[in-house]
Amino acid sequence: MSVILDKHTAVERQPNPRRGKGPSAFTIFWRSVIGRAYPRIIGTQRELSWLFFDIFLPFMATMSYVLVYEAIGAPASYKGLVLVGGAMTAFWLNVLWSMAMQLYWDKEQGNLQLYMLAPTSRMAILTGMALGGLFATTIRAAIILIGGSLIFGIRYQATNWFALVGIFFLSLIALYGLGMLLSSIFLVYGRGAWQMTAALQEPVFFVSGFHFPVKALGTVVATGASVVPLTLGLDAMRQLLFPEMMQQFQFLSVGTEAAILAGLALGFGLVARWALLCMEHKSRQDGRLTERGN
Amino acid sequence: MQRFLQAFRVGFWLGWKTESNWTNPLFYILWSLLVPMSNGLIMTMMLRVLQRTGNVNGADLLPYVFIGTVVYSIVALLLDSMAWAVLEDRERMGMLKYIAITPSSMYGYLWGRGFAKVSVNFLAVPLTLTFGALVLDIPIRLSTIDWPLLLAVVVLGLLIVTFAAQILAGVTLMIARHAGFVGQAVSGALYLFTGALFPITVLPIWMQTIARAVPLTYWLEGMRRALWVDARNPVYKTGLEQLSTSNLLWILVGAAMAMALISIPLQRRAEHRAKEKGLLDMNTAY
Repeated sequence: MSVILDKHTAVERQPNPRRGKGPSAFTIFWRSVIGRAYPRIIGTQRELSWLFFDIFLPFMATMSYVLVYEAIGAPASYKGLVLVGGAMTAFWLNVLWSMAMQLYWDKEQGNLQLYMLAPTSRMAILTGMALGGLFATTIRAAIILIGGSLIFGIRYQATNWFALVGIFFLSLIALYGLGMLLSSIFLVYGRGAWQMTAALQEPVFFVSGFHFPVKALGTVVATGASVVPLTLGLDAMRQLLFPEMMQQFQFLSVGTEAAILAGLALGFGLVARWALLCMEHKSRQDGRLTERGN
Repeated sequence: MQRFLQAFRVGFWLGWKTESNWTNPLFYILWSLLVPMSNGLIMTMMLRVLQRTGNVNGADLLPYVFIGTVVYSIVALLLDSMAWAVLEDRERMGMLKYIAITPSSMYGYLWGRGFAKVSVNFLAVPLTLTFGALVLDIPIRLSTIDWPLLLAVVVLGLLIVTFAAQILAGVTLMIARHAGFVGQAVSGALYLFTGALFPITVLPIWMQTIARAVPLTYWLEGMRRALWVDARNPVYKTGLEQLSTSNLLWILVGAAMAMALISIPLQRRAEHRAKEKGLLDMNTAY
């Protein structure tokens, strides 16, 4: 029988009954989530100038779009419609550049191999990134919405705030699930996927109706664009915020959109998990996990 | 000048390879069409939605907005690309220091890198405008385009934007952090102040003053006058309709010279300061 000596006192001690078991998978998952969310939340406070740029840039862009309607004397509800879309662009940009692209950035900086060595799942790391990113992005979206509403005197007619908040969170869960799915692509592909991400930015602004009701594009395009959860999320939120104006632009009913969003959230989560495992396996086989500057 | 041209050629070739070697040229051109095309279509849909509901009180601004949006994509790309080239070469590729220690002109090199990124847009923008004319019924007709004015305005505008981009590249070279935001911040702000999307008369008076001081406001106005026969119709209340085209051209010439006078010494100063402070091989994990 081996003797265990205390490393400080060199006195014989009893073996620790917990030694060798370690924390549970659940504990590791949540520690990883907190570990990855923490730098994104704290980083926001440490570098206030980034917060300024993060808010300032989308705010300016959104204001430009609202001023188009101002220029032609459109009713305030139309400006509100653009403002809500403009605020939600922050989430789409965050998903694209800080979720989908994140594993690519980490590969470039040498962090990806550390993630692979860590005894945790990639889903936990991405969930942490999503939660951390959500914090800063929500601040940005809220400032765009509140600032724009005050500047342009936009009034909202929401009667069901519970449904509004529910749709908002459902959209975000589905959206960040899509982000996780996209991020798996970067385990295999390099700069080409970066270009594809860049290509998704403005076209999705168009087909998802970030600046106008998506129904205006016709049923076929709107149905196709519904793969991006913000298409339905925005339509439902606009219906709840501007019920009178949206009567003529309603794509689907709020209940139907909520049900589809719930399905998308579940579906993207499951597919993302599967895709991450598959892509990780393939990347290991091809030796692309440590590859840089592809 | 010879050094400048040599460095431009090398920078352009390297930039072109870096930008386009992930796919085949045809797909790359199609990919480059996405941004100007999407922006143009967004504006079209925004205005069409309003027209459909009969809620429009003002004139039809679609040609104004469409031309401004599509042309502005060059401004945004060029401003961002030169500043980003500094960052990429310095931190990602780690090769900016090698440019600096050769007798090459960094000024010409960065011009080349910037132009490589927007070179495909020189094709994408006319294609998008053609799409607008043919499919979206934007009143741009080959017979009514003022070709000499278009040529003059394009050349002057590109000079102004390139010198402005060079200033941003110089600033990027000198600052340690947040460099990635410089190009985007400036192009984002100018989006609001140049009347790319809406006539500057919509802005409050103090913002109109800023807009009138930005040379790109006049460039976009010049592009609209060259491409769109009705651009000076007072019904659109652009705020620049009283300005004669010859005066507009003089403003552009003056602005190009002023930007050159600012950007050339600034770039020299930036290079010198970067060497002094050891910033040429800095890594901030951009």
